[in-house]
Amino acid sequence: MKRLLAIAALLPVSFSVWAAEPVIPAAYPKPTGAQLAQTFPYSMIGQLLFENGRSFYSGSGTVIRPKSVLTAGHILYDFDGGWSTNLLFQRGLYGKTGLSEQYATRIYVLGGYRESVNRYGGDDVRAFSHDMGGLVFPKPLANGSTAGWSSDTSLLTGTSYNIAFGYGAEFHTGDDLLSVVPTAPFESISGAFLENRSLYFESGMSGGPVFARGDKGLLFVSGIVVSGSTDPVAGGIRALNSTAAAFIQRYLR
Amino acid sequence: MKPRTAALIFLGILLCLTIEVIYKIRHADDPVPDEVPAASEPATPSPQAPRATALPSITGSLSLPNPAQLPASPLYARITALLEKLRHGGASSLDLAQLADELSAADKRQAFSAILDFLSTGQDASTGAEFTIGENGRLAGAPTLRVMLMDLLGRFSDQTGGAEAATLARTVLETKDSADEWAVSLRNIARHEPQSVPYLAGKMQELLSNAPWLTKPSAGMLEAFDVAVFTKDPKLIPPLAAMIGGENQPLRRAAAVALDRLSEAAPLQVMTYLNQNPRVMADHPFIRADYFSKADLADPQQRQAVELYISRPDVALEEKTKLLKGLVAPASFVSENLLTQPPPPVDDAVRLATVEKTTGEWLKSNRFPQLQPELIRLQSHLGR
Repeated sequence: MKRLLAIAALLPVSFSVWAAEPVIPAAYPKPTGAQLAQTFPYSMIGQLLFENGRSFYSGSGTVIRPKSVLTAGHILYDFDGGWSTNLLFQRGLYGKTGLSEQYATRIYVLGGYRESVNRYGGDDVRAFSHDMGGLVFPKPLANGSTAGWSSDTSLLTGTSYNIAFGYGAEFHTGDDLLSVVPTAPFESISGAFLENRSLYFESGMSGGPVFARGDKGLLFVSGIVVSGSTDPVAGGIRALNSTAAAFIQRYLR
Repeated sequence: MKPRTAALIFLGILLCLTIEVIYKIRHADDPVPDEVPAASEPATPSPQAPRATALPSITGSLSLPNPAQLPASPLYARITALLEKLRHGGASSLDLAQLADELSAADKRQAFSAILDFLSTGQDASTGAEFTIGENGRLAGAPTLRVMLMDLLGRFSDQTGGAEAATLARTVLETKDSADEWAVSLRNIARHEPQSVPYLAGKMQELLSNAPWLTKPSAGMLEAFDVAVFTKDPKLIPPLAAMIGGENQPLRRAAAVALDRLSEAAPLQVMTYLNQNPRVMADHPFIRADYFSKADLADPQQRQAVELYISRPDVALEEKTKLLKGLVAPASFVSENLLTQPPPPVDDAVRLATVEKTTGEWLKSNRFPQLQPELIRLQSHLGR
C-alpha cells in the first residue's frame, strides 16, 4: 500500500511494515551523522515543521534557489485543513542543532483542477506525478548558496549514482537527517512519478531530495521523495522534469 | 410587370446569388471531387455515438448545404481518413499531430470549412489521449477527434478574430452530450466574447448541476471549473462549496482549487459573499479562512471585509487564527488552465509590510481581544 510520507510525526507508527518480505533486498534509511548533514550540498536540506488543520507535522525540503525551498505538494495543501501554515524550515538540522531557520512567506503548489493525490486516490501511482511545491522566504536561506538541480530524468533511471534524504520520523526521531541509497535504478511509472523497489522511505522524508551524480561528479537534486510502499517495499519520487524546471525558474527566487 | 412581382423576383435572385457566393467562399480551392466523403457512410460503428451539430453559418444569417451532399475538400478528406484510422485502432499521436499541423498551415477559411463540415456530421472517434491543458489554454491532449477539432477551431478563431468557434460553441452548449466538448466550447466563447460572462456563469451553473457528469466527471469537466474563476461570479460559490463537502474526490479537488483561485482572482467579491452568507463553507472553517487570507490589506474595502470576518461571533477562534497565519504566507496553485493565467510571481516585501502594519494596529487598539495572543506571535514572527 502506498501512502504519503509528509506527516508521520504525529501518526501512529505501523510496525507491520517490517513484517513484509521484500522481493528485492531493500535499503532502509539511516542517519547521516551531523557532519555530513551540515556539509554542502547536504547542508541545503532541512526539516519542515508546519501546521495543518488542528495538527502539527514534519516533512523535508531543499534550498533550490537562494530564498526558496523545493518540497512535496502534499506537505503544503490538504483537502480538510486547506493550506499549511507556520512553515518553519530548519536547514542542516541534526539533533538539536541546525544551520539556520526561517518561516516561509509564500507557498506554491504545482497542480491544477485535476492533478494530485485526490484525483486518483493515495494508492494510485498517477497521484504523485504532480506532487511538487515550493516555499519562498523573505531572506536568503544559506547566504545565497543553493543545491544544484537537474531536469534530466535519465540521471534517475540510468546507471547514475542516486541517494535520497529526508527527516524520517517513522522509526527515527524526525530531527536527524537520514539517507538511503538504492541498489537499482528508478523505474518510470506514470508521468513524472518514478518508483524504486530497492529502497524504503520513512514518513517524514516526504519533500526531501533525491540527488543524482552528473557528468562531472557533481550531485544534482533530480527528484523529490513523495511516497512509500510497504507491500512490496518501494519508494516513490517526483522527478524534476521540464515542467518542474519551469516551475522552479518562474516561481522560486 | 407589377412593381411588387419584380421586387420578389429580384429578392429571389439575390438570395440564390448569396448562397452561391457563400458556397464558393467556403470551397474556393476545392478540387473536383471523385468520391463521396466517408462521413456520409460510416464503414464501421463508431465508438463515439454520432451527434449532429447544427452548422454555424459564416454569415450568421444563412445555413449552408448539408456537407454530406457537398464535394470533399482535401482537408475534409484528411479528417475523415483520420476518423477511419482512429476507428480501426491504427492512428497514432503522430497522425493527430500531422492533421493539426495541416489544418494550422492551411488557409483558415478552408480549415474552418473542413472542420465545421465534419463536426456537423456528428461523427467521432476516441483518440486514446487524455484531456490535457497546455500553454495558454490550448489542449495538449484531446480525448476525441471532435474535441481536438473544436480546440483547433478555437485557436484559428483566436488568430482571425472570427466568430466560427464561438458560434459553434453556443450550439454545442444547447445540449449536454459531452462535458469535454462543453469545456472547449466554454473556452471558445470566453475567448471570443469576453462580455458573455453572465452567459458563461449560467452555463457553469448547468455544468455543476448535471448529475450524469457529476457522477463520473471527465477530465474536461474538471478543467472547465476554471470558467468559474474566469467569470469571478460569487454565485458559483455555493455549488462549488457543496462539492468540497462531497464524497467525489475528483470533484472535491477541482472545486477546492477553483474556489481558492476564485478567491485569489476576486478577493473582495468572495469575501463579501462569504460574509453575507455565513453558512456557506461553515463546515470547512480552515479552508474558508484560506479565502480571506488572499486579501490585500492595503485595499480599504478588502481590509474592511477581513475585519468584519474576524469580528463575526459565528466564526470560531481557530478559524480566525488560521486566517492570520495565512496572511503571512499566502498560497497559490500553479497550473496551465483552460482560461485563466497561472498566478504571477510576486514580491512579498510590500505585502508583508502591510500585514505587519495592519496587524500591529489591531494589536495596539485591542480591537479583537481574543486574537491578541496570535497577533503578538505574528508580530514576533514577522520581525524575525
